[in-house]
Amino acid sequence: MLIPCPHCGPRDVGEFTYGGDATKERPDPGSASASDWCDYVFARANPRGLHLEYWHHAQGCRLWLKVTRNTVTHAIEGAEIVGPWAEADQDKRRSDEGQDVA
Amino acid sequence: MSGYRLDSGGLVDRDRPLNFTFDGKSYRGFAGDTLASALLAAGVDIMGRSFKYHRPRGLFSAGVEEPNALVTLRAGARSEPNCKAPVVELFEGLEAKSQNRWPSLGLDVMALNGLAGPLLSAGFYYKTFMGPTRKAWMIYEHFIRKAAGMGAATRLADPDRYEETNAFCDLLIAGAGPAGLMAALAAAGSGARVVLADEQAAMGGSLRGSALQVGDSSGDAWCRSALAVLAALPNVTLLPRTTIYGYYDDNTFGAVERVADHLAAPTEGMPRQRHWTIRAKRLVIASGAIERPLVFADNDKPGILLADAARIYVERFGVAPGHRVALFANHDGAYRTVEALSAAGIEVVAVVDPRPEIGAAARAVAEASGAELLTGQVVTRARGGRKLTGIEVRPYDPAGGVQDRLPRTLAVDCLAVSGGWTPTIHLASQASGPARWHEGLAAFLPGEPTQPWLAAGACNGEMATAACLAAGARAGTEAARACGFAISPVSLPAVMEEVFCDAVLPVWDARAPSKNGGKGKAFVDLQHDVTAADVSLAHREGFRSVEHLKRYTTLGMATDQGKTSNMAGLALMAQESGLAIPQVGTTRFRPPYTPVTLGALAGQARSAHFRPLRRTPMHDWHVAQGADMMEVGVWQRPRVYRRDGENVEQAYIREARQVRAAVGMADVSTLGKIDVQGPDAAEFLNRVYSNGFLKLPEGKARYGLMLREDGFLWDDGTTWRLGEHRFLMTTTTANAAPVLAQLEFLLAAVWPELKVAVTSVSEQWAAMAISGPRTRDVLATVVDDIDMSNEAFPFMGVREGKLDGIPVLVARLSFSGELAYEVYSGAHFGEAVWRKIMAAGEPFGIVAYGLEALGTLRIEKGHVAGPELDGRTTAEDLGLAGMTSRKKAYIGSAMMDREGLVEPRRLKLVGLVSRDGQPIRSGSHLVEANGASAPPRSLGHITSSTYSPALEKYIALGLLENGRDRIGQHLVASYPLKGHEVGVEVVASHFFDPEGSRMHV
Amino acid sequence: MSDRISPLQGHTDPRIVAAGQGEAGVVLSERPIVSLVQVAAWPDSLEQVEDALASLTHCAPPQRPSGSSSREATTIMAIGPGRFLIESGDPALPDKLGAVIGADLGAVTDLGHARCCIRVTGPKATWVLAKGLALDLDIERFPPLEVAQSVIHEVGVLVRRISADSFDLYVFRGFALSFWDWLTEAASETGYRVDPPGSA
Repeated sequence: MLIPCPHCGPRDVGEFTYGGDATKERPDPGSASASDWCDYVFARANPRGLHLEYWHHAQGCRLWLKVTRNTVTHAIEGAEIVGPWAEADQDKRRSDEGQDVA
Repeated sequence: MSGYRLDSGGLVDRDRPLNFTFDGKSYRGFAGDTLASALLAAGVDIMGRSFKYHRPRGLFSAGVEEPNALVTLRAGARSEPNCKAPVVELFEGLEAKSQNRWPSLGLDVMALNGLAGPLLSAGFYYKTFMGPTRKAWMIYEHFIRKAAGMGAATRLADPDRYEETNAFCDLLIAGAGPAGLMAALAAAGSGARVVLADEQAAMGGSLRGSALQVGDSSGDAWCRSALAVLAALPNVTLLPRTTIYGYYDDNTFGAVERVADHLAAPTEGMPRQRHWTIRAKRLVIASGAIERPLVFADNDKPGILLADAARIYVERFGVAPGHRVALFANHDGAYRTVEALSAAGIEVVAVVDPRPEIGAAARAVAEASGAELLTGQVVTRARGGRKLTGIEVRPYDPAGGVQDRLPRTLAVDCLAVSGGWTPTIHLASQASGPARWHEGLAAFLPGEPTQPWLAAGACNGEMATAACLAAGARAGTEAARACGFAISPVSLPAVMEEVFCDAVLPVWDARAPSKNGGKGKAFVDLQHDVTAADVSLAHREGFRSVEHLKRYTTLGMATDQGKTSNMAGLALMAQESGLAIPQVGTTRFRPPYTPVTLGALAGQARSAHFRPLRRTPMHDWHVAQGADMMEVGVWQRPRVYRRDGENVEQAYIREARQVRAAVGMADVSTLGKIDVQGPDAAEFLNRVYSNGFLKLPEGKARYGLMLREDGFLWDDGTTWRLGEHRFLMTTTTANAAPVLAQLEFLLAAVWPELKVAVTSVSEQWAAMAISGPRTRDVLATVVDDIDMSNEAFPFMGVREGKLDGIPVLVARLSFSGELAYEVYSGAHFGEAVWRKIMAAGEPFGIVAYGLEALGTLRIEKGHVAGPELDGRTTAEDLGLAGMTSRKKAYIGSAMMDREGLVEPRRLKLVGLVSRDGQPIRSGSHLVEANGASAPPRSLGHITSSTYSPALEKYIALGLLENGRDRIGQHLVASYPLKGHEVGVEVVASHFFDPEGSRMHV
Repeated sequence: MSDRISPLQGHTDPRIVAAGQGEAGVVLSERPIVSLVQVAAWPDSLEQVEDALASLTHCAPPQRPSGSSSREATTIMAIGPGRFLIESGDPALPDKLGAVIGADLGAVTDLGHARCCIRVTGPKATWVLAKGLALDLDIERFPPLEVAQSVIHEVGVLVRRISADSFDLYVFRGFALSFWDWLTEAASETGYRVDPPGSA
């Protein structure tokens, strides 16, 4: 399996560590109920098909990525940076695409 | 088979004779021979004994599909069983032994198994050893394994090197026959990176040695010039002797290159085999096809071989397979064998063909050869004892099958058989939908691709050379275009008209009807000794799925994976069930295509390189002192520094005692160290640790606890505030990497608004812990510019300074409970700093202490470590509840108060003292002392144990149900597996100096 | 004896280990690091950090992910968004960078002892590296100055291409000797020469 790291390019899955379901959002400790926490920490869907998941490029640039993977075929639809650099990355992609069109 | 070397012909170098032995007897072949061709040339008929029945077997094929001629190659540590003689390249001094025979190939007492044939039919083992007789397997297994089997693996270590490598390309082409070569030629001109791999030493496939006119000359000459063109191109990599064995995700391929298998031994530095991981944008499968045999009685007699193999031995090796040869085939393509044999002057006695009508070209070939042409007839039985002496031929009617007439007998010493061709769809089937059935060829072709590959040539049902060349050119062009290359059309060489297999008359069972000479075994799978009768039996017993048939009869499950037998097996099964073959379906081919050595898969990862070793900066010093080094994860750490005659326990007791009495130093460089910086660093740490970090002053360290989100304890360590926005975090050795990954995750996914950078500096710092009452005296003599006094440098203080000129960080931390400091220096300075401190400490009696003493000292203090932080304990369990803040939210705070985590009866950390002077084993269960007959209920277990020189007793830490209320109780630490029991008293976990007075001086 | 000790000390004595026919396919040498610093910018201060780097080192930071730039004794490698690894012949670089890049701009981390650098040069350099590196080393896809963080035989490694047949490998100090042993074994097929540290 190859994961297209936005910084490093496509890399073998062996360089990455799986980080679990990326659709879960950490509850707000100020307001969340016990069941919110239970859902965040323990409840996981097991979808057939596309799945959004975290992968850590631990043996590369050390970015955390959100990867869309097809659980049936292992096909990877895309990977994007998670965190403070996500926006900069998307801006850059947009401008790259703009250049391609131009 | 009575084979012999022809006076001329073949691609062997008759000026370069090579000597070799087979079963101890000396033979001579030529450079360019395989072991099979050389043995055939030497007239060796029997090359192996069959798997179950020990029937004599001769050479059957000229390739990897060989089911019979399996030998053990080389001797001693390089001895390798189950090598297929047709793919073993001959070298000077080659040593081969036959297998599965005792005492010798000619006289094999196990052949009696043949008489017991009915006992060994399909499902024999299941029937015999399941149910009530199951235990008998234990008794008989040894004998059965000895009687039925293959060669034996050597028990000596493999002396050779193996390697892995990686390759990237646009096009990977599997197979360098006409289709593969043409695909490479078509694509290479575009500049695409092409890798062309072929399992054989010489590329060219069916063109090698072929006299068929291709372009201006022979097929052999054309393929040589094509290879010369390709070899000269920088964007083409030719990989001969390389088998692409598996097709994986993202067009990744596993391949094995047999770098030195054709040599007696690899030369200096040369790997024996190299595993290739190849990533290709497109795969062109040009893997050809494998000829299949026909099923008739005693069709395994030495002297019977595949028709195209017979042609190959003549054309490529200049070896005749027999003196009087017959052909039994059901398609025109096999007549090329007649053409080749008669051109070489070998007498072709007869051609037996079940078809009433044959193609004009085939007929012309047969007539020109002078062979008797027996159309509408089949070979129903082979005759002979240990080798073929004749064949029985009966009429055949496509509607009614074999006619029940008396046979005509022909005297032959060689029978070439061909039941058509089975396209080699192994790679395709690993990345495709179901295989497609081709009625004319009676064969399965590749299904719909699920990954980007194209098939060309015989593997795709395109059997004629011209069709292969055209298909290859098309596939190469298309694949290069798909990779984004502009491509100009490539010209195809003209091919002289040839006879080829365009349609077969499927005759899956040519046995005579049973009342008339139906005796004899008709083999479907030669290597696993599965007969047509076994397939019928399996069907009668209800095994209707092809997957069940395979497992019940073991058809196709030998080392050849049924390359010659699968189709016949399927067809017979279809016949039994009255279904068409495509309705029965086929099993999916899994990797590897041919066996892969474990060495190739291991590559360099063996012995010293099994996994990398991680060494601390002071490693060489420890080794020079004779420390017992132990692996802790990947780290190498000193366990004890034994002195003359000491055992491990004596050594650690001495070391620990000296720390408490004077001073000692331990290498703690393996601790995880993380640089945490940024305007929000303190806030971040405050959310990560369960205790407060916002108010930690600069120049101070604090012990911190980390929980998991689910509220359990995760890791601990000290974090030092080096500046307003700068911290140095330490973690346990084991959690160094996971903690960093978690911090990175939190900063990326949970709190992206925090301006914090985290970086591993584990490798930047050498770290040493110096402990004991004389520590300050020692450090004061070597530290240049830090006031070491208690007032100026209090407990938990952190100072930057120099140690004999070397920049260091010094933190006053104590894991041992003594006056203690940790000294950090740049890793390259680590050994120098260590030596300087050791030298300064000498007058004070300093000792180096290892992991054991480190453990002893912390157990005496009741400090928790990895064995207590086992992922199932909470802060409260370990008596650390005071460190879990109630005033802030942090990782784990929301879930730490769940019912099960605050349950009062949970296992709690306690101390245990041995009551009878016996050591307490870690892992022992704690049980009530008044043992009844029933096994007592476990109340907890021992996590860490040691002899305590300070208490002069064996002590331990343990987790005990309701532990803190059991102080003073007497229990038993029981280790039933070792029959070890010791009486213990429950005490508080702080054994030694509970007030901590010793470290605050 | 110097107080500064490389983990490869004692293992990099010059020698030639020839394969079958003689010629060494690669030359291996340790390239001692004087200073190595990581600078991490915040997303809103990237330009200021780049400016600070350029004015301090006179080397313009690379503008592409996984790119690098070099000027005189300074090399700047882009190892992540907003993250640079700077190697320099100036031993005071960590302090100088710390002085100009405060917490408001980013984080400066001294890694001068955390890595060892091994130079691999020679006609067989890509062939030897491919034995452990699952990266496409084709010169067009991995051109000179390109940087890749990857793994060789379970050891994290940063690879920087110097030229068609020359690479710098930055490996974690603790794994350096184990990696060196692996590398010399991998190079035994083509033969190798070890040049003294600092000769590259």
